[in-house]
Amino acid sequence: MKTIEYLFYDAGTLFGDYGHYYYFDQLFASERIIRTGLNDTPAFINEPVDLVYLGAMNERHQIMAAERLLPFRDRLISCIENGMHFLATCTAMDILGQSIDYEGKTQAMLGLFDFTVKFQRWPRINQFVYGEWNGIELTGHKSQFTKTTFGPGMDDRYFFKTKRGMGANPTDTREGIHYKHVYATQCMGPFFVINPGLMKHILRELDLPDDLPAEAAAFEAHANRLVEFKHPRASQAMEVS
Amino acid sequence: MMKKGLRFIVALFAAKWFARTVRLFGHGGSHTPARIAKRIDPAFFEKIERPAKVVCITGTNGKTTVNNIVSQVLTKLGIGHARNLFGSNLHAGAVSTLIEMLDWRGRMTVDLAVLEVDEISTKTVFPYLKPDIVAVTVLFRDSYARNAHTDFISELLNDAIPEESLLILNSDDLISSSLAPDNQRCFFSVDRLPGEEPETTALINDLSLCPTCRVPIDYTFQRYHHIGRATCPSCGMTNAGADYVTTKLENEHLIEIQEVSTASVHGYKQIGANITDIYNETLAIVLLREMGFQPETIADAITDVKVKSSRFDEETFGDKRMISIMGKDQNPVATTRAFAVIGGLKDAGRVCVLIVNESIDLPFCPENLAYVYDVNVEYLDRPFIKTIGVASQRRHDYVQRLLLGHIAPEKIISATSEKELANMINVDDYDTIVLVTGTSNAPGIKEAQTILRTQLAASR
Repeated sequence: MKTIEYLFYDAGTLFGDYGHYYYFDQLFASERIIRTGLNDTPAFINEPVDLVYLGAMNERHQIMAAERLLPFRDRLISCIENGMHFLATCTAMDILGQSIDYEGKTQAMLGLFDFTVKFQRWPRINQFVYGEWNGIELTGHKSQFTKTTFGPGMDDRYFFKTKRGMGANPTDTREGIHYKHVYATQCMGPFFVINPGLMKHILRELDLPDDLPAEAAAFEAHANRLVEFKHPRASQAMEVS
Repeated sequence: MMKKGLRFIVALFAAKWFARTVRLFGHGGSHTPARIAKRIDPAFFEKIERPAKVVCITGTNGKTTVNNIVSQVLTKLGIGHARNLFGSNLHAGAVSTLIEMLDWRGRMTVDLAVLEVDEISTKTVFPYLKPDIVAVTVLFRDSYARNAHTDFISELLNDAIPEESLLILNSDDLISSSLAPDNQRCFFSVDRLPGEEPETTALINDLSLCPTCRVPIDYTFQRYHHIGRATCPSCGMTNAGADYVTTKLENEHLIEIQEVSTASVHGYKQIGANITDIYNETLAIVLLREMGFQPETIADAITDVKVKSSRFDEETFGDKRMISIMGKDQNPVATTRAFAVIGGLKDAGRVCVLIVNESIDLPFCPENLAYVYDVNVEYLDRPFIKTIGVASQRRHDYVQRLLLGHIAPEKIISATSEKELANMINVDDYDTIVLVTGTSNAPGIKEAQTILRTQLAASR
């Protein structure tokens, strides 16, 4: 039996991320699921965990989450190096970087990966994203106030290159993190629900059956989304300023 | 106020001329007059003469309804006022409303403005209008593309609300009731109503953790989402004591509001049946009370008030019904509330639900459907709901979400357009057809309504 941890599930509930939780509840119905609140000690500190999921949270919770995890940074590095799956979406990915600059006030994050994030309230950037990783076509959406700058350490640790839509920032098509079994993206939830090919890949990595809930519908929706996202006339939504 | 100048007068003339021309063709609220005026005079808004008293209504849901109730009461009382009744609540909509009330020389012709203002637009509207009263309906997560999350909107409102504004706040909402803590304020609340059950199954709770202590908040009564009575077990943060409390509903036709300071209770005609209607009506009445109107005056005037029908509209065709409920585009709470109402329908017989609230009805502008994953589609998993239809460019995404919500596949139908979906329905199979509508795709919704109306009329 695998152990799945929803890390800070009570804070990571923004931007469709409830979808990840009930999807994972169905996907991992036969596995052990631990729900760790923002005030709780993460399970991966004291016992083997096979997959950690960290969902999108607001800026105040980002800071709290980083403060909660910083004392366990070495343990988290060790778990990742030893193959623990770590999935993160949207603002949760920001916590894994070096720092977030909140309109002039810099807050240290976990520093697991070589990138910094700059938060600026306007404009709010809205983008659809299409890319490809390991032969799997990926779709996602972004709505964010942030732009990310990758350092040299991300040269071989970014997730995928976008073919449509913004990557780390408007001039960098590199998107997210892929390192060992870390899959993180700044696309919002439910990224892993709407990319069934990727989810099947992760299940196989976990040595679990790769059947998905509502699998046929998921692939049909994904295929239709791809047609839309790849169409040359598809235009990005508005920025809000 | 800045000196007006010739540029202002030209801008005003062009804007008023456009507004009048548009009105001749039967159109209502519009942002265009303000845009025209600003194009000609970029400082136009700063130069507008402010009415003597300005009341603004903001919040995630209910702004338009509260504004309509207040405005209808004022109209019944013969009090001239500026108002934006058609949901044109962005910066430009507020300016267009004020333009209507300026004479050709730029003088304000009314002493009172009652304006609904979108939360984001408060940052540009409030600094100039400096509202005397700001009434906040409630704060929930809204469009992810515009509003981000409630923390962000709270910060934005805290920056925008002038320190001299009186706030009217919902004490059952621990998010909005914490706004601008140094401002003068009064609170309203709706008591737990007879027979009212808590709704603890909603996915969305925008206040599950105490903002200060980050410990889980204890809800003693969770009305829906984060609305209700709650306390932080660590710091003791809890609901403020309300100055106005809606205490009970009398035989479904009357709401009673207790005024705590005088220990008096006043009855008012109940305008809508749902709890959100009761909140909206309560706020409207409290706002009118804080504007100085006597309870008896309000009670008399409110008897004629009708809530805008696009929010909840019911038509009967013999023994069949067609209901339109506004779900609002990209707004997960409004859509969840709509689904909760549908799931709670009584004596509706066999029900068909058609979800037609797509926000972006264009083939090449991929809509973000993340919000659907925060909506309780599970509320539609009822034996009496026989069919759930979705019409959208993104219908396959909706279908995936419905299936993840354990909706039986044989109940789900989908089509690329509202018209196509409506044509798939045989009204003989149902007693009630419910359309969950949005605000953006009016032509498609109207087409679907017309098709269904024709079918229903023919089936009588």
